[in-house]
Amino acid sequence: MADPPAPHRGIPDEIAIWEILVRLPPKSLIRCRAVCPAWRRATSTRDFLLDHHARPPARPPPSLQLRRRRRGRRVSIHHPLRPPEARLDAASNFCPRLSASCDGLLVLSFRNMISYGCQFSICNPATRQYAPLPLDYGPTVEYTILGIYPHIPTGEYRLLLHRVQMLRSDGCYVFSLGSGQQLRYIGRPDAGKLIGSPISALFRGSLHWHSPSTGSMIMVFDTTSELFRQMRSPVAPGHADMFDLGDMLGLCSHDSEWTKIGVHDKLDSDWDVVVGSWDGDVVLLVTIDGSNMLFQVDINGKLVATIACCRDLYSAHLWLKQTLALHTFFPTLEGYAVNASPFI
Amino acid sequence: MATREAGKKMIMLKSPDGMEFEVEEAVAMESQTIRKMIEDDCADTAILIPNINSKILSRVIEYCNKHVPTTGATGAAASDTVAPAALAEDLKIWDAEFIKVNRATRFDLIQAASYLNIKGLLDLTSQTTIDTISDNSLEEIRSFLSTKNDYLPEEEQTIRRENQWAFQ
Repeated sequence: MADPPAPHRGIPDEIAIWEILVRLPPKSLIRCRAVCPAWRRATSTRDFLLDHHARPPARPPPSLQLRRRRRGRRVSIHHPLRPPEARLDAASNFCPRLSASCDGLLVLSFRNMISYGCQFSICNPATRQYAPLPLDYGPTVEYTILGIYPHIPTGEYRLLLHRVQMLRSDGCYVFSLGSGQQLRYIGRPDAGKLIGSPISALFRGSLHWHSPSTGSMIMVFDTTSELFRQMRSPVAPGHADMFDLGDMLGLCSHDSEWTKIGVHDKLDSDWDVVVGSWDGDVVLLVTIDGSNMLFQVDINGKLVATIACCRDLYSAHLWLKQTLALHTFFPTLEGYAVNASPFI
Repeated sequence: MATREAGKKMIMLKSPDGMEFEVEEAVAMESQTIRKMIEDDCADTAILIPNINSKILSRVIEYCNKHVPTTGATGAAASDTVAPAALAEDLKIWDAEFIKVNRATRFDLIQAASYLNIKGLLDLTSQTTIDTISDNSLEEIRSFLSTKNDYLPEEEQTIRRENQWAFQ
């Protein structure tokens, strides 16, 4: 930059705070609180945090990746091209998995590699709030997280879970965060077929799944009435990634023919595609034999960018919009902690 | 109100240093602040734009002229013949040229875009500042924005310690 050196005029605090700081990613914003007391005060108010949360990020939201290390089990949360936004270390013998996300919240499951039971926790990587979820686990009962959503009529965040007990599908449960943590049975043992589906997409107040087990239908869960319904899929049965494109529900599916075209003679290799949306463009993260490539394609199908990413990362099929807004249910959960283990 | 060219409504914008700019109403209404004034009928003759000098105001008008939907003076036929993607590409290149200004001008443009509430201009002008803040040390941020650090050294240390992870 050809600017003359300081001193020079800056930007009034009002503009710096409400036009610049409010658009920063959470980690940069936290750093900026150490710039001066006025910034710290202004960026800690509820009004500011809500406004910050409502802004679309200036850069793509971080996608979530799992990084496995030889000793211990580490979850690393970041966009494929940038350093980690947050890292968590699971206790030994536990294998972490990122199960669901919405509004900056992230649900993790930890499978005990000895007893094979699964425990769950919820966190906000930006505020570093973390709490275990009080759900039973053990050899006879197994929960699967099908999704997390804001329940608009009550303002609560709720988890949609499926439970298997004594190897039989028991049906779905809704778990409300912050209201006595009640677990409510809502039936639908057939929702067990959603286990192993691609992760659900939250779009216009409903969760959506597209998987081989739902045939030519898309399973839809209305988060207000908390009832399931189905809608016809525009594509052939099979696995499909669904994602929120802003005003449309995006759907990406591929069949074996596509596989042949896409990865040429590497049909036997271990490959995977994750699709998400950012700023009107579609972003594809393709993993072949552990190597990651990120493709950004615009709305006309033109390839905008191709980027090779870090090798030892595994995509978690989730997109997270980070937020510093404080979720009120956290302190009601037993074992709640801020800026402490398992965050590192 | 003045009119020109086949009934296009014109608006007079005045800067505090006394300059007057005649612009199409559609161009002026790229600014949500001015749009509101016009819709509320508060803009019968000329609109005084406080705090924005003529140099900056003329650049803002230049931006709005370029970005007004293409039924305006800049490209009446463009939307029929040019693909939207090509137009968007053209705008991107134009924006990149537009923003090649020194820091003081950029800060002035941010303030003008904020006051006049022109989202596209605000996004464009604030992005480089956001990038600078994201990528630099606290000292560099303070010097860049001329922000005075009135923390005691031990206070700053405490805040850094509390949020150690954000500095890694």
